[in-house]
Amino acid sequence: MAGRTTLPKVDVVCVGVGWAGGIMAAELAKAGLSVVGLERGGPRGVEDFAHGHDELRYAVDRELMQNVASETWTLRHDVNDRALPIRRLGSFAPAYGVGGSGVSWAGQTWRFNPRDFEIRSRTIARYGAGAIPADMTIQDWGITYDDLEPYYDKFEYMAGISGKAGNIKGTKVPGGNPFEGPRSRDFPLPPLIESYAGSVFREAAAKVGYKPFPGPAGALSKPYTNPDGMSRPGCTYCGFTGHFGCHIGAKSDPTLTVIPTAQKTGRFELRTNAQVIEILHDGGRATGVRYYDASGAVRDQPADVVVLTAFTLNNCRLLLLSKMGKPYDPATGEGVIGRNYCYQSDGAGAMAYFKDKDFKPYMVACGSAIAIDDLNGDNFDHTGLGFIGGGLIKVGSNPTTPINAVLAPPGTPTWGLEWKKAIRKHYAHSLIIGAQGESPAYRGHYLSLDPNYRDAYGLPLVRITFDWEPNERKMVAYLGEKLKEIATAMNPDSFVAGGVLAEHYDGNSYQSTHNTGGVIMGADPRTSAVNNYLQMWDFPNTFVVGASAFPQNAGYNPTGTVGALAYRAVDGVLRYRKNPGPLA
Amino acid sequence: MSAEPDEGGDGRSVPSRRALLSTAGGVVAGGAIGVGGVVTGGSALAERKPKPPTTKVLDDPPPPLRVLTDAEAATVTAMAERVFPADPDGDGAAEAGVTHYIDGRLAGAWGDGDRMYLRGPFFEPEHEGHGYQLPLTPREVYERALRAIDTYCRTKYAGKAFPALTTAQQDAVMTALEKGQVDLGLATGAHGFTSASFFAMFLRNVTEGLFCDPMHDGNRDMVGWLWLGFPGDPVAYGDRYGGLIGRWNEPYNVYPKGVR
Repeated sequence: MAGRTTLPKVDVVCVGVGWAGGIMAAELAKAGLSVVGLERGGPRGVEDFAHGHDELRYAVDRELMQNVASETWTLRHDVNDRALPIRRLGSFAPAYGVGGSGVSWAGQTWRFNPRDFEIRSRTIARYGAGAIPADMTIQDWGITYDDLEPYYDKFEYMAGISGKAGNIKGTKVPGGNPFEGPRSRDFPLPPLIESYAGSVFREAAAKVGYKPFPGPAGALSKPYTNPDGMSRPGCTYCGFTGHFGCHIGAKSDPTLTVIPTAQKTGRFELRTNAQVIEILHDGGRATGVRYYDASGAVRDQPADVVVLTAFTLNNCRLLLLSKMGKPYDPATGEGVIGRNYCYQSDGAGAMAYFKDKDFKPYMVACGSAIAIDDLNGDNFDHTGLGFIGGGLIKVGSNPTTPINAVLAPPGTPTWGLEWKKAIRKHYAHSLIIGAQGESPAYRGHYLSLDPNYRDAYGLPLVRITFDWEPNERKMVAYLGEKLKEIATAMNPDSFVAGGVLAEHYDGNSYQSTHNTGGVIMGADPRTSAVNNYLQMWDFPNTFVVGASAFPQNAGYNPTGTVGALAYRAVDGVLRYRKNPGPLA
Repeated sequence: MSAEPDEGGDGRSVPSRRALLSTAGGVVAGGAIGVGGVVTGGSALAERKPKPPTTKVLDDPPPPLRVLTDAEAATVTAMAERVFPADPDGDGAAEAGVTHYIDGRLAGAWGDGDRMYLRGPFFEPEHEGHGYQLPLTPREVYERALRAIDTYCRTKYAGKAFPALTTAQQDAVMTALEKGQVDLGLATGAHGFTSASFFAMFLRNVTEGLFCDPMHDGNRDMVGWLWLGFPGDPVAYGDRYGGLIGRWNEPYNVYPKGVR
């Protein structure tokens, strides 16, 4: 190991340069602060994708994602289970490199529902305390939707989100999502062109009595220049969505928005291949971060403010490795770091086949979806159902590329001539309806450091303790029944629909990179790690930004809320700089 | 070459690495694939049957094997052909070059377990949900599994290797693999790496070999993409999808294009 070097102090250091790090860097540098961004991966940009799209390289080998050979996570389903490492990227796939998952995401950009931020108090108010299972530790966020609305708006206009408002300042707008919280104004861009599958779903869902609408998407429906002056072209519907980078820059991407905005100020320095291993702290204040640079040398970067903007699991891991905050203990329910790890309960779905419809699944935009919100959150009466929560139902945009989109209905042989004929029959003529279920928090689901497995630097991996619980099993089964009704109303030549969660959460097969929690926000330091500015209760100059702050996960894609919370944290850092101390 | 150059177009010159065969030489394959590739089973499409391409672009001959022995390659080819058999409507996995795709994968970074966490300790899972837990690279897994399959076939079928079996016998072996009934010597319990685990891995690799970009030696002559009706990478078309969005049931008669 080369000698350690302490670098000149800066105002702010960000650990991880994706959406959260990019937003913090852009806004804080614009406000006059000096900012260093440390990104564990290398530089990436639209020029890397201009050569064309290769499914094997990006969607199978996942070149843009974390390589688990050097760092992975261990999984156990219960505290009494033996944790084993996830040895191949499986259930989730965090990105690696400048722009983070903002380069490779599929682009669905939702706001959470007002109820989601007050889930515990609203559930009790409507159904009584008995509706919440004893071991379910869902909690309010310590912030309301209305508080967060300006920050959502800021994110959507910066990123260039295409969509259709359903509620502007309390006035319902036909064609949008009638269940959404009030928006201060419409989306910056109109919705993307509806896919054929989306139109079939929309008509059927309306026939059943639901209220379909175009999902908000992080792909430009038209050329757009954002408030920072960053211009990008409209989407070409090329069909290479999640796992791929955009070859023209139509996808909403930090490397085309906030990161160059930060760089334009001259006050932001981006350092790539910088692997942060520890947050340095002294007397209840962070003093900087320690990292390996690209040459393997150890560097200490002192800073007045430290902002963790890495992936959910890494924000939590760094705090545990650095011994900051009290680790959560499921036996006592005390401690906060690692608490309320949640995911996404994606077990319900439908596949419908139409002999005479050519859906051209390969012609689709990032984030393109037709959705209904009727069965999400608490948008429907749960009295007598035996569960809380729900999910977003949608016909979305991926997978569209042939290796991952080869599909045949359950019951079809998995090989042989019958399979060969089935995959051809179904490829262009089937649509998939997905149900993205919410994931409540439980006392026994949490993150900790693994005692047995280490990364390439010799540091302990994060250990995930998580499994499906009865509430979500009932919820997913219920959503599956509703999908049957919608699928029937589409009048397909054949369909399959249903909802079931596996016996145990499967760490091995891809579901969603919507991991949340571990460094959650709230109003009470005993049950949350950060306040509603994402400022650590115990370390007022440390902000932890990302889906790690979600006290539990809703039935929506998380990026819109991560973006909004990052803008909220910007306000927090600026307020802290004026008046160094706890903000709440 | 495009069946209908006005849609999607084939403005690029034919790469020199490819051999250009005339209809006279490739009429059966060209005709079957050309029509099959755009019909995709839909009656609306079938109404406007495109003319088969008058010429067919064929990929270069496959590269030499790098990891698999000739005997192993013969087994992989025969197994892959049972997964995706040639039939009157289209070529099978053998024609698509799946064996060379798998050989290339095993020889390269994937075969090395380049993106796998292979640090110990190793334990066999006690229940589902933990996935792969072997201290082996994919190349080592293939080596052991193919050896065990060979032993299984020779023991059961009077000394015959998999390629020498009848298709009915081959399918019986495939089914035994799929059900986890062939001992690969890699699992001690039901949640370890059984022959069902290997079979799932193999199916995935065959699927990749059928439908990947042809630059990876699979999907030769666009066998896989023509079968599905996947047009390939639209970047090669100059991003012309936008104007076609909404014209859903109209035929989209293009010869697929890869990245290069």
